Amino acid sequence: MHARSTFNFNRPFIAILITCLLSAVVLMGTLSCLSCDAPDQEGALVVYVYDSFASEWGPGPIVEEAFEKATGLELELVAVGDGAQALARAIDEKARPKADVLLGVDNHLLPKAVSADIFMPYRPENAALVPSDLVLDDQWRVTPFDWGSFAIIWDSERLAEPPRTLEDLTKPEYERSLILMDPRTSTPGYGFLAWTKAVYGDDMPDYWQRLKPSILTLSPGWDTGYGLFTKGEAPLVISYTTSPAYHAEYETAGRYQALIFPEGHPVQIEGAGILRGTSRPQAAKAFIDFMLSPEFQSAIPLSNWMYPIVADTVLPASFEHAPKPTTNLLVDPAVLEGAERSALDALN
Amino acid sequence: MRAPRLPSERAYTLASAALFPVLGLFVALPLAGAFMPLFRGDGAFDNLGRAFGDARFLGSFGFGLGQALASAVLALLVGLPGAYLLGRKKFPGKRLLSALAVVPFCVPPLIVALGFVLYYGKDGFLNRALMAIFSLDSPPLDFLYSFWGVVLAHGFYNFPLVMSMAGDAWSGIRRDTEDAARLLGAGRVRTFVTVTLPGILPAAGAAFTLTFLMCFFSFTIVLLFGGPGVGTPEVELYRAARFDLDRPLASAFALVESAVALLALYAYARLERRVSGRRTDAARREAAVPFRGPAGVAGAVVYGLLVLVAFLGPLAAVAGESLVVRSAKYGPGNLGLGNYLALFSSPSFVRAAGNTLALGLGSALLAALIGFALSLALKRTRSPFLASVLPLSPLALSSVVLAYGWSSVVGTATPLTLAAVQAVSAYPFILKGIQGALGSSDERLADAALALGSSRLGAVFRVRLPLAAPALLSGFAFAFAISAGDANALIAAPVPGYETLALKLYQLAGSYRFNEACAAATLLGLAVSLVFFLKDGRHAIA
Repeated sequence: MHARSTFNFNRPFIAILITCLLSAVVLMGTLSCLSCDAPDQEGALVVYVYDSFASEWGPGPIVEEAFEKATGLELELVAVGDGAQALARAIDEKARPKADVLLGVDNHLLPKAVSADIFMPYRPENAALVPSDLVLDDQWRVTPFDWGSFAIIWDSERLAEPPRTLEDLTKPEYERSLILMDPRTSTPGYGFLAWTKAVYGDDMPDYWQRLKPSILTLSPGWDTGYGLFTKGEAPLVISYTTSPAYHAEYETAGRYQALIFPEGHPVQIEGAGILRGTSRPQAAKAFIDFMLSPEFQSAIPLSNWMYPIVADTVLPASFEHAPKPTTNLLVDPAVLEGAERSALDALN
Repeated sequence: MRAPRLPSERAYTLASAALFPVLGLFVALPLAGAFMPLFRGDGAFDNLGRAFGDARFLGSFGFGLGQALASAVLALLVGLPGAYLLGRKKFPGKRLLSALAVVPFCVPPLIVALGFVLYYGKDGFLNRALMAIFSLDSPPLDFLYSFWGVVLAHGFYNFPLVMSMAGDAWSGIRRDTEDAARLLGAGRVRTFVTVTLPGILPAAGAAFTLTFLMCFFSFTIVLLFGGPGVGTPEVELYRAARFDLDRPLASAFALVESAVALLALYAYARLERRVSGRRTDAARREAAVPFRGPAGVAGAVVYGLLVLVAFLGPLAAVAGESLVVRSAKYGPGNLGLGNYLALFSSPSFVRAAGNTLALGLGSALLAALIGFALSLALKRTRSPFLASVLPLSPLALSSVVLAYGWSSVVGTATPLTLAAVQAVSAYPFILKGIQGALGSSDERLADAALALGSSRLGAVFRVRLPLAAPALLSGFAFAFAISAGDANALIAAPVPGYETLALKLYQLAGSYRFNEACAAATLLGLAVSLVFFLKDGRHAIA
C-alpha cells in the first residue's frame, strides 16, 4: 500500500511533467537552430538588403538564382527593414558583423556609413561601366547599382487638382493628403528631407512646419507608405518618377502619375559595399562585380523599379510612363547634418 | 495568521532564497542592461538633463500619458454597460460576450492594426458601406493616423478587460443590500451611487489602471497609426536605440517610462487588494435575471450592435480579406484560398511557424517555472510591499525595455533572451492564478504530509505541485498565447535570421502584402484562441 502511494501521482502532475520535458527538448531545439543560423557555419554569402529588394516581387529571387548560377556561390539575402534601418543594423553589429555585404546605402546616407567606417574599399573589375556622374564614392567603399529620382505620386482618381510645386503641398486643400516616410528609417523619407533642404535651405524647418497639416502619416518604410497610398488612404505619396511604370506594366497606365516640379528633383543613387570583418571577402567581391553584370542590371527596371546604373541596359516599354525631371538636384550630404532632427522637431 | 514553526519552514526559506536569483536573472539583469548606458559619456545626471531638456522627450511622455488616459477612459465607457449585462442579466449570446475578454491578451495588436486599416480606412469596409448607404462622395470617417485614431484603436481593443473585471464585481454585489436601500427610501440613482458604485469601483479602477498600463506601453499601434510627430516613449526608445544610435537617450526613456509605469502599478496593486477583499465578502454570486422591459432589451441590442460593428467588424474584416486573392501587388482580386496556399508553400512561413511553437513553449515553460517558484517563495513573505508589488512588477516593464536591456547585455538578442523577455511579461498572470488556487488549506495539507513522514521535496512534488497544477496549466496556455502573438520584442531587438509568425505578419503587413498578412493573422488568431479555450485561460485573467 505504502509503496504504491509513493508513485500515485495524479494526472495533472504527470501532464506538467510531460510538458516540462517536451518544452526542454524544444528549447534545446531552439538553441541548436540558433547555432545553425550563425553565418560562419554555413557557406552562404550574407547580404543585408531592404525589404522590397528581398520580396517576392523584388529583384531578390532573380538575383539569388543568377548569382548562384554565375559563380557557384550560395547567396542569402536578409531583409532588415528599409534602407536606413539596414544601415543602422550594420553599424550596430560593427564589432561582430553578421553579414558580408550591405546593399541599399544611397548618396544621402553615405556620409553616415563612411563616418561609421563599416565598409572595406573595393573597386569592381568592371567599374568603368558606371557613368562618372553616378560614381558614389571615389574610394569605392560603396559601388552603385541603380539610380532614380524622387517624386510625388498623384492618385488622379481621388484628387482632381494635383499640386504643382513643393510649396503647393502646404495648401489647406491638401490637408491629410500626403504620405511621407520617417527620414530616420527610410531612404525615400530621407530623400524627401534632402529635397526640402536643397530647395529651402535654412528655411527648411519652417517649410516642414507649414507642411505638417498636409501629412497624413510618416510610415516606417517605403513599402508601408506606398501600400497605404494604393489602399486609398491618401492621394499623394513620396516615391520615384519610375513608380507609374509599375502600374503601367501590371495594371493600367494613367491613374497614378509622377508629378514633375519646377524646383527640380533629387537624384538617389543606391549602392552596396563590403562590410569590414567579413569572413568571405572573395565571395563578397564576386557579388559586387556581379551587380554590374547584365543579369543583375536587366533585373533592376522591372523588379526594383529604378534605372539601371549601366547606361546601355535596355529599358522595358512601361518606362515610357516615367517622366524625366527637367532639373536634377544633387544634394551635398554635408548640408544634411542635423537636418533630420530639425525637420522632426518642426513636426511637434 | 502565523503557522507554528514546522520543518516546512526551512523549505520555504530555501524557496525564498530562490526568489532573488530568479528575479535577478530575468528582471534585474536586463534592467541593468537597459539603464547602464545612462552612465556613459558625461554621466547619468548630464544624460538625464539632456533628455529632459529635449522638447521631444517631454512631448513623447505627454503624448504617451495623454493617449493612455484617453484610451482607458474610452475602454471604461464602452466596458461598463457590458459589465452590467454580464454581471446582472441573462440573455442569449452572454457566453460569447464574456469570451471577448481574451481578445486584449490573445489577439496581437498587429492584427488589430491591420483590421483597423481594412475596416476604418478611407477605402475600408465601413467607409464604403456608409458612402453607399448615404450616397456620399467622400469617405465620412477619417480618424486614423492621429491622436484619436490611436485612442479609438486602444479603447476598443481593451474594453473587454474592463467589462470582464467590472462584470465580475457587479455580479458579487448583493441584491438584497440594494433592495434594502430602495426600501429605506433611496431612489434608483441614489441606490446606484451609494450601494452599487462603491461595489464595482475598485474592480473598474483596477481594470482602468491595467488598461492604462497596456496602452502606455503600446508599440505597434502607435508605430502604424501615430501620425506625424512624436510617438509614445516606447516607440521613441526604439527609435533612439535602433536609428539614432543614442543609447543614453534610449536609457533615459527606459528609466522614466518604467518609473511612470511603476507608479501606475502601485495604484493597481492597491485597488486590486480591495477587489480581492470584496471578493471573499461576496462569495455568493447573485443569479442573473432576464430583462424585464422593452427599454432594457433595446438598450442591450444597441450595445450588442455597437460591439459587433465597432469591435468585431475589424477582426472579421481581417478574416474576410484573407480570402481575397490578388493577381498583381496592387490589383483587384477574387475569392479563394490562394493566400493560404502561398503561405504554406513558402518555406520561411513553415520555419516561422516552427519557431513560434518552439519559442511559445519555451517562454511558457520559463514563465510557469518562475511563477511556481515565486508562488512558493512569496507565501510567507512578511512585507506587504514584496507580496503585492514585486510579483506584478513585470507589468511595469515593457517587452521593448527588457529586449533592449538584454541586447545591451548580450550584444545581440538570441531566441533564449526572447523567451526570457516573454516569460517575464507572462508570469504575473500564472503567479496570480496559482496564488488564487492555493488557499490556506494547502499549508495544512503540506504540513500533514510532512508530519506523516514525507520529505520536504516530496511535499513540494506530491502536494503543492498537484494543487497548483490546474492554475499552472491555464497559465501555461496563457503564456503561450502571449508569446505567440508578441512581435514587439523581436522588432525592438531583432535576432538575425530568426522569424516567428507574429514577425512575419508584421513584415507582410509592412510590405503591404495585405491579403497574405490577413491569412497569416487569421491562422495565428485561430491557433492562439484555440490554445486559450482548450485550457480556458480566462481564469488566468480574473
